[in-house]
Amino acid sequence: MNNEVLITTGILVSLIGTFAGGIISLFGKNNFIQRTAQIVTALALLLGTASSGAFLMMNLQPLTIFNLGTLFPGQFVIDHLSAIFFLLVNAVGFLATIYGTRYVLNEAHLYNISYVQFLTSFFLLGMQMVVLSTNAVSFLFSWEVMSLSSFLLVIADFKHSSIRAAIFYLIMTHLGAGALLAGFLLLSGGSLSLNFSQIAQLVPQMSSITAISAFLLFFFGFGSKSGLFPFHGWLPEAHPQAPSHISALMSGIMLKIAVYGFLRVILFMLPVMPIEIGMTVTVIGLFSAVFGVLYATIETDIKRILAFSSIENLGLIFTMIGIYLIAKNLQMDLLAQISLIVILFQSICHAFFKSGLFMSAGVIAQTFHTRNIEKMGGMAKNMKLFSFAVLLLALTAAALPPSGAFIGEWIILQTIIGTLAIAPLGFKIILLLTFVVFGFVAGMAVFAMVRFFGIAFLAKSRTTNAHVEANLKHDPQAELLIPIVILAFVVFGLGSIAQFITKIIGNGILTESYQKTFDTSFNLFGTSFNPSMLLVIIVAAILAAYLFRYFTSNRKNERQYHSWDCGQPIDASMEYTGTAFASPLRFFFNMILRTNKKVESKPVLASNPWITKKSISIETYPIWDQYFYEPIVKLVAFISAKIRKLQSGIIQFYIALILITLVITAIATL
Amino acid sequence: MNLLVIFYQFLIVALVAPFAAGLVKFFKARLQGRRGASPFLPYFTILTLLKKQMVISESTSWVFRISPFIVFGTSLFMALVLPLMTANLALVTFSNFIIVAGILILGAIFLVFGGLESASAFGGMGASREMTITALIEPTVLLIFGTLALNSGSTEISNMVLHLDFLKNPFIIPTILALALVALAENARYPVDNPATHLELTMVHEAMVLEYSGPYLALLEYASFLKLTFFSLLVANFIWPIGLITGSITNNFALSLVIAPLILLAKIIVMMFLLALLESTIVKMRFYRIQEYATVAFFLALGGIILTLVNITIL
Repeated sequence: MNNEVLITTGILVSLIGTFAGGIISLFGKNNFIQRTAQIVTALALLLGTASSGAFLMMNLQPLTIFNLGTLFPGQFVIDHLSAIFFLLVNAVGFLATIYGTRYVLNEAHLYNISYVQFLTSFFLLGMQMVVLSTNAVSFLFSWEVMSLSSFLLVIADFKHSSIRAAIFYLIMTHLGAGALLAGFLLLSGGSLSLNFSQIAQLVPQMSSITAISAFLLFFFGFGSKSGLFPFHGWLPEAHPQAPSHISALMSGIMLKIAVYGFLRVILFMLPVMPIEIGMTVTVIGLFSAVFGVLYATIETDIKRILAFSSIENLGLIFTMIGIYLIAKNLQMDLLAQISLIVILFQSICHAFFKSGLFMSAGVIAQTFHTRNIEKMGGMAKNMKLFSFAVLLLALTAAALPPSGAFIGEWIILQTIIGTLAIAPLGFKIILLLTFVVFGFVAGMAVFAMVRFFGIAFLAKSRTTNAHVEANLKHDPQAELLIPIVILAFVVFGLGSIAQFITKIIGNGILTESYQKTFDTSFNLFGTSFNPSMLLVIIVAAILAAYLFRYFTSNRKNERQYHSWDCGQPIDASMEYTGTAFASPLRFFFNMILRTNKKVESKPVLASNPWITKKSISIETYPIWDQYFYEPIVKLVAFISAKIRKLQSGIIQFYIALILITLVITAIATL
Repeated sequence: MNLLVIFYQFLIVALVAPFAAGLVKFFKARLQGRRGASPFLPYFTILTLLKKQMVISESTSWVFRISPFIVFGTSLFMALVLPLMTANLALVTFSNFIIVAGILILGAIFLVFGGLESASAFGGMGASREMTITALIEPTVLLIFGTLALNSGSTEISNMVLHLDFLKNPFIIPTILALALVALAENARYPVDNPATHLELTMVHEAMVLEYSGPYLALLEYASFLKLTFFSLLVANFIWPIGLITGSITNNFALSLVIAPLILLAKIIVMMFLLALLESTIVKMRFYRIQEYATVAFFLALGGIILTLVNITIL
């Protein structure tokens, strides 16, 4: 048996296994059946990871997985681009499934285990199938499997707040899906069962207006799915409400599936777009990044912090897609290829670190029984391995050297500086804007991640009841801990082996003349940088610092004492809170981060106005609600009120309406 | 061989750093009409601290213990890769400005973690302020080095210093000014922070290291001395890159090994005098006006890069 057959079989078995895992979980709620379902799903995903990994390593030609023929139009094919995303779905899905086994048990009072497992399997299956689809019907069908199962997972705890968030999500995701359907209809001239490659052959004969309209529809469809401003309102509502491993999959993988879909359409179907389109995508991406990161710095719900940070990350990825489009238009080949590499590399990094962070947020929430960052603290003291893993994830999310995300950022910034001098004027402005906003977002992302880790993990716990203190005594259970640790080490380590990853990514994308750009070290615009060496030098410098201490002072000479307290005993309630930590930023960015701060003071005794009881409340109200969603809601309500007048309840009137409709239809057809 | 010269720079900078910190205090005292302590006092401070017993707060965890090493390590990294006494010899790639900006932040955030670990309002306040300043000046840092990269044709700071010519590129003056503002903010000097007080209204850096004592405090103090040294040398070298050992000096190599440290010392003395002069003539800013300071620095840097781009496009 040759490799191709092995890989095809592996991927096929992984699809069947994921499907089977979902079906098995329906057979009953007892522990054995559910465990079997989980193990089958996990093994299937592991097999999928291995197969697609092997496909990428061997740099194979596209392989047909299976062909349903007449039953279901089109075939399922794995090529280089889909293999990258298939690998992400399976690898993160595998870890999330392992994590989910314990997570759901710990929350057994909230979740129906069979319900969650069935939907998780189908959610994963939907995503697996999206990336393998080669025509619009199977693409949209898998897309719906993914969207609907994730919708049902968001409401898994059947709480009022979850249902509200989920309905918002359902509406937005279907507006997006509708746009995708319209886009495919436009491109394929009405026949959805055409293959993507057949569509690509049709496209050159198309008028540019049609192509641009199709592009805009796809941009709305995929952009709203990945939470681009201003269609991101659902994301910070829906992602946090799902069980944590589902949040991890939604934020880490489902957003990447949208990126995949957009790339598939741009790279393989649409013609070169006018430069204004690329600029629009870039600017919207930058807007999303700025808005996302600013809210991530002030939010107090840990999962919402991560959701806003996802908006930021996806904003940056779409910025790079915009730069790719412009570069393609201007025939700046090197820039186009590098931005494509960075898009994929950052997607991989983001998939790993964001899913890891969401899983950690699940553990944190289970430790403190709340998602409010103001009640946390003190996790680093005894949960050593867990806090170390989260620290690595947070450093990666903040794109600090030598983590994976830093290398991606390095490539793009280096490229912008290298291109700035030779780009035409309009593009120069866009590149300069991108450069500045990347800097701003990088700074703010560091702030958000330092706050996330610093407030939740360091110092003393802000909740002091026996149950929480018992939780804080030891690392979380192994099934929860191991996936997080694996993700943390992989994504942090990606920075040191980035040259190999970009090489593998580049195999299918870079033309040969550019492949040497990403050889054993990056050769970009006059610099030759080896990421592995960076780690070595940083570690050497820190080791030197340790040796300095080791040889100059006595390591045993220390004692424990409480923190300096100015003579008055201090407790955890006097620590800086998350709100206080972000207070300078809330003040500086007052224009965007609208806050309502209320200080109320009531006299304790009516007779004495001086001794008062004070309470303070701070709430933020997002400006997009005020200026974007609320006017839409008002408009819809206004139109509905007008239309309601038609429904007078008189039967003769309705018959008249039918008649008028018939007449109009008759005129239209004649 | 090149690597050895780099280590030579590393050693010289590490040796000079406490002197630089002492010198600025000394100049300041003289300018304010006081006698002032000897500029060599910081050496004794560090030696004393290394001998002292450490008091570790009960509220801290392992992050508190690794922070000093990472903060000090990042400062050592800078002393190794930046063009302070040598330029363009070895490890040039790692003086890439994006890496340098990233490593600077890495040091800053571990200092912040150390501050948060104290579980008192002081540490948290210093941490929050430090993080705010770091985050606000980040775009400016990138812009400054981006401008210098465009003007010098290299993204490595080690190469930048050699290829900048003020006469040819007068429009980098706002950029250098912005660099000076950033250097003041990064080093917790006036008008952003007051390094001399322990007053909760004003302190940023001191509030974070409040809970550290003994050898850990020595490491953190040393790291801040190093930071002051490499930033002032960097600014000096951007303005006047004289006396740097480069690959091209081969015939007088032995001589340059002696002269270069002397020139470095001269630069330190001049820069510290200027810093002391500045700190004696201006007042500290209210913290809630830092965004104005950051905005000024940002627009200076933006002006620099726009002038550069106009120059590249038109001329």
